Amino acid sequence: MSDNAALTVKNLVGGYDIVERKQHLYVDAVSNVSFSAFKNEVVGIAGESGCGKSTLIKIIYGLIMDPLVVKDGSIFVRHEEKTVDVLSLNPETRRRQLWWKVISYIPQNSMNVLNPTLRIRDHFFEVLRKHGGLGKKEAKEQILSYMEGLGLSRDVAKAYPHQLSGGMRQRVIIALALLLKPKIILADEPSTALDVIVQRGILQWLIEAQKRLGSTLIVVTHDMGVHAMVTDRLIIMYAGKVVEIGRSDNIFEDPLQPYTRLLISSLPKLRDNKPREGIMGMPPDLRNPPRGCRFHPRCPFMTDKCYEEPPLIEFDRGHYVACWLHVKNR
Amino acid sequence: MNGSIPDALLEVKDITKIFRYGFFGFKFRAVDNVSFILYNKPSVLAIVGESGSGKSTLARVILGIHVPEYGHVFFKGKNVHNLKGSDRLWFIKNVQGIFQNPYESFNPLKKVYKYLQETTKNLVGITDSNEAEDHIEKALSKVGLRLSDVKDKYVHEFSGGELQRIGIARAILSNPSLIIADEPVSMLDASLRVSILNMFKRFREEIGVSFIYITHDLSTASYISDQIAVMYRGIIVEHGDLNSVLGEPLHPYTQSLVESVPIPERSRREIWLKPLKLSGIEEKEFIVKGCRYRLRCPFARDKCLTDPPSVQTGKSTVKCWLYADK
Repeated sequence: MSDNAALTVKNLVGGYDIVERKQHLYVDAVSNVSFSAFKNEVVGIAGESGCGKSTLIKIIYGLIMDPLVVKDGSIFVRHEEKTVDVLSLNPETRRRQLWWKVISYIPQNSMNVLNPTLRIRDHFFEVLRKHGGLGKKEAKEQILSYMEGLGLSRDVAKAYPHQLSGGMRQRVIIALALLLKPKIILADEPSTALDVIVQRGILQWLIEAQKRLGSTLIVVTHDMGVHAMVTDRLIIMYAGKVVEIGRSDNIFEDPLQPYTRLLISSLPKLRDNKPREGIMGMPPDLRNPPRGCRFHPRCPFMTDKCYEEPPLIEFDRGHYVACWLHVKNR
Repeated sequence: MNGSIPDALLEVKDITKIFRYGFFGFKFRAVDNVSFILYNKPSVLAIVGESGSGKSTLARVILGIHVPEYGHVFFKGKNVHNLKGSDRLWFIKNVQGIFQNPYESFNPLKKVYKYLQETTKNLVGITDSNEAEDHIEKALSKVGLRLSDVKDKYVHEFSGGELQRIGIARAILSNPSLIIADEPVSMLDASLRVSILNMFKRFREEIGVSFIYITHDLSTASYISDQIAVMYRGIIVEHGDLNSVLGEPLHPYTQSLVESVPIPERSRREIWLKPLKLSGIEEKEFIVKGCRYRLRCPFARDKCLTDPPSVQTGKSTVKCWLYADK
């Protein structure tokens, strides 16, 4: 966790306050998460459905709406040579000062967020006028050249959302998110509903844009294949907790946490018919998570120690893991 | 008319299914002149294609849900779309389907066990409820579930993985010889997928059931199948042995597909990151003249304006002009 980070998440605790059968329950979706992300890097957040990865990304963006609550922690971003805590700002200030310009968010299933009654270019127009503070004429010219620079033709600019394919709509959403040159781009499953060839094209296009802007890109997906192809560093989450952080090269080569190891080895690979095993059992219910290490009920290496929570230790330079197997003198 | 190949389990012959695009819109061929044969030994054929390739439509034609405009499907020599009386029941007993979203396959107001009971009664012909329970228990144990886990529960009380297992248990109740599984694992988490796939492998070996595994995911297809057919815009562009189709893909589309699959292996990164150009045309590809891939194909030439022939090379059949002259 360093001072020159573009984004630092510190001891973040958040989840959902819900009422079920007249009982108040708390879903512990993000449980004491800390990490940093730097300029010019692609960080992946991996984990299965319900591990809290999307909740984490929403909180980082500051999109905190009922029943989502943040109980503790801070999120620091660099903005105009200052460090700002996203959570200390009120929602209106967040919207005005940070969104689109400092942090951009590409939500899940985002190809359906476009307004069906607006032409594509008018979507850009609105963002530019509301957040970029430009006049009508200036905005119009800037949009067309911006879209053309990204390979979106005039036909696309004129079209309504329903006239475009899913892949093209996703490109429009990404182009919108990048319009005001954000320093941090948060992408939640940016390519999940797309066909593999389109997916490849879109992700390549997103990384290229991120490189050009020198921004930090955070990609959330359950797909370890995508993580292997696009990320520089990886954060593995399980049941609301970070269980491993490291360079993607190291994590794919030598995963430390048993969950990471099993997750990677359970995936069928192309042209490799070696028998594989799934991970036995199911992910836990976050209304009532297991104590200690949350993976212990499914872990083949489980010992009595695992009823206690393992610390996230730096096992190797920049490679962090939360597992008693890797704590010396246990 | 009956099937012409004596030892065929399933013979799909020149199937064409036509849909209309929009209410007054143009007609297009969702499945266009598709043929293949499954022989009478347990095997897994993967039909791989992206959204809009026609793979699910083809599955529905084989299951007898859609009636094709042209062509025939023969199951053990009998025409699937022309079954009468007891033959119809015989077909349903022998050919079962498993679908993508198990939450949609079951009525939420009915106990899941009721489905298993009905299948046992109607297809297997066991009316005695104790005997039926035994039969159901056996099927459930094959998918790793206990009767007591299932008996008094409704759909919403199960996880997606459990429900998909129940769907599979239901499919094997009648001891079918062919199961058509349409994206059976794409809703499930990665750590649960492989256990379902392993189950299919085991059933093929132990019960001797054949599978048609329909998916968009080349990695899982490569894990369980013997043969792969790649579909593009209604056409099977390449069909052959698993190792030849994935190891030495011939059709430019298969090549691009194989190269684009993200796999959890860092060494593949360099190839995967090689810039790819995307096109915006999609609907047009259904009605384009000649080869439907030619608008995207890097090797397209004048010849591609006419329909490419099926060419047999080595262990696969490919529909592409590139191989026609050799």
